[in-house]
Amino acid sequence: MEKERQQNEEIDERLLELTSLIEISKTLNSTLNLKSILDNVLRTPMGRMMINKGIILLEKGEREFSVETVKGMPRELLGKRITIIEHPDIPFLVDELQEEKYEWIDFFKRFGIKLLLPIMSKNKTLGFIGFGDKIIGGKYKEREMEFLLSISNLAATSIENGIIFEELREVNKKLDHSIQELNTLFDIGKELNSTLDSGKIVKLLGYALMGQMMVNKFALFFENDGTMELNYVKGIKELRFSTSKKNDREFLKDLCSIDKPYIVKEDSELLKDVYFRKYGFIAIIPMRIQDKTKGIICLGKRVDGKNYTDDNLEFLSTLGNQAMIALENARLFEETLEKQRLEEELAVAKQIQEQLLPKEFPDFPGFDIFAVNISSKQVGGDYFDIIRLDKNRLAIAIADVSGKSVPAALLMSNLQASLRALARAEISISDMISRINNMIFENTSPDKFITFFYGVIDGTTRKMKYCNAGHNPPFLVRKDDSHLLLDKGGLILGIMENLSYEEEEVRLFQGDVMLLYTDGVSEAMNVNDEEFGEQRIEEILKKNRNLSSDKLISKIISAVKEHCKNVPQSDDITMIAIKVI
Amino acid sequence: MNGFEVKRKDLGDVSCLYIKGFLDAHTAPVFEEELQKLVDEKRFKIVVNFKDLCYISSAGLGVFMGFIEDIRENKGDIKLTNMTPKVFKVFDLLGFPSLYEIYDNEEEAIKKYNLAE
Repeated sequence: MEKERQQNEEIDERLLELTSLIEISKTLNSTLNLKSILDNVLRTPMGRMMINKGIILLEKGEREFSVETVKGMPRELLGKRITIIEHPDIPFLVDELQEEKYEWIDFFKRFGIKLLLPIMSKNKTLGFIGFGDKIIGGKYKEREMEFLLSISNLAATSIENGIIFEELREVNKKLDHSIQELNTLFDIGKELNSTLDSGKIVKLLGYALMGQMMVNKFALFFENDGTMELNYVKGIKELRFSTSKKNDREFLKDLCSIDKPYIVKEDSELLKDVYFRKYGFIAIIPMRIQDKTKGIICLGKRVDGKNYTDDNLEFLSTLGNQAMIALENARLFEETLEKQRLEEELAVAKQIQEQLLPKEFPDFPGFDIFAVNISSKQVGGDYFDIIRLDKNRLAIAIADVSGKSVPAALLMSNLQASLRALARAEISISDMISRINNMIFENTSPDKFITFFYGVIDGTTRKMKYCNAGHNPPFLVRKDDSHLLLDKGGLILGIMENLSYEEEEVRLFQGDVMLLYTDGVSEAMNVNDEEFGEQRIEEILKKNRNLSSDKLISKIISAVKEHCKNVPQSDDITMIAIKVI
Repeated sequence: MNGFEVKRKDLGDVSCLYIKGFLDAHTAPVFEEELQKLVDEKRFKIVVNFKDLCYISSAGLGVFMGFIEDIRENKGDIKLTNMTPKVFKVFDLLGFPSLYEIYDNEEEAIKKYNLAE
């Protein structure tokens, strides 16, 4: 009877154990969440056997085990790592283990763990389950240990699955992150390629840096002429460099030599790293095109406190290079645009100049007159005019306006207007020049000026009155090869107000040759930087005095071209030749 | 091109921004302009409602990063609400939840501002 009762009790107990095992197996298999698996593995036996403490450690490295969950013990233990090299592979009581053989056991003793069950799978130790005292007291019986072993065996598979799942989740997260990075590159790339506005490109790069890296302190440097210049800074107010400081200069130059992304080391004594640390820059990313560093991204601490990983640096490098290419495209585009603008401007200047110059020369009996203007690519500001004032008088003018292109052309047009307005007025030449001087002075800044020669030939008296305001003196070559330089007059026009000018009258004789020219002729340079010179003009004039005025000019032009072989024409060439016949 | 819209509603000293569509590199400047306006007006208590936002890229997140320090220095904040799971995932991946308060709805976020006073 007594025996039967005992047997029944034992069967009941067994049944209860089995029920617990089935229950725990069900719960364990219902989740892949490692944390809840571990919690369940502890909770069921602790409840059923009234145990005060429970702990689970899982292998985290080679023979290194980390505390993953605790019950009835200080939570600070979570994450603590201990090395366990050798251990029994069946459940064992902590107190019965020889301490000298297993040093690590001290840890469990200290925290009151009495029973340890290795979690084994395919002869590998996944971890340990530890239990403290039974609250009702007494040692663990063999049958209880068997029951716990069953639980630990059941747990092994679930824990293994949980670990794999966890790893998978980690891999997935990394994958998601990579996809996110690719999306960013794609998103930014799309946008970068659709703009040629460098300001916008820099802004976009900033968004991507801040959004992807969680950083709100950064600076961008761009290369210019062998050194770097600070282009954009976010979040650091005191960042400034001065080219007058030697160290600043060296630092900026030094930036050009950075060819790989890197993390600034705490102990580096390199000048650039000292600078970077001073401003709190941690990650340094060169922006490169075709193996040349064209820019530098300096990043401060990440706001989330994370470190920059190698993957981050690689991502930043790709992003930086992409942005740099977009910036380079923008720069090239701007350059082309600028060039186009310049060319258009030159075309306008040329057009103005062409419209100002006389296209045909008035017929003036007794004189053979020819003039030429060959404008340079830059449009230099040469001007000439031939005006029939009345039946007997002919005015000739030649001028060189300072500056080039449109501003010069506009000033030239001013000059022509004043000249044409005053030419027929009843005033002396010197007076007229004086007035033109005041007009030019009032309408331009003092750095704008005009060299000007003006003469009026009287066909009946065969005399010429002239005034030279700082222009290259024209040659008047006589039949006997003597010559005059027509240099009477005064200062160049437009630099000073209320100047008075001299005028001179010269007589003209049959056979005389007069040449008015601009410095585009006399100062035409050859490859050795030698000027054509007045001497050569004089020689040609004397040698060819019998030629007609147009042929004479052709002679001079071919001589100048011969002199300037292989050198492009840098200034306008203008000449007026007058022969007295 | 995918569109983006931002609307604003001021409730007391809290300003709510309702963002809609795609917040990416292309549309980020629009959103930045709206935040800049708030900062210029010294309205630093900001709630951004994500209810109708379909997509956010890191350039979009970058806009938040560009302002948050300035706004917090002025005793304000940017609180985020009504995020769809898809949008939240991007936030989560880049670790933003540790930096920004995210609420289920606007009322909670506004309540939080009012409690702090």
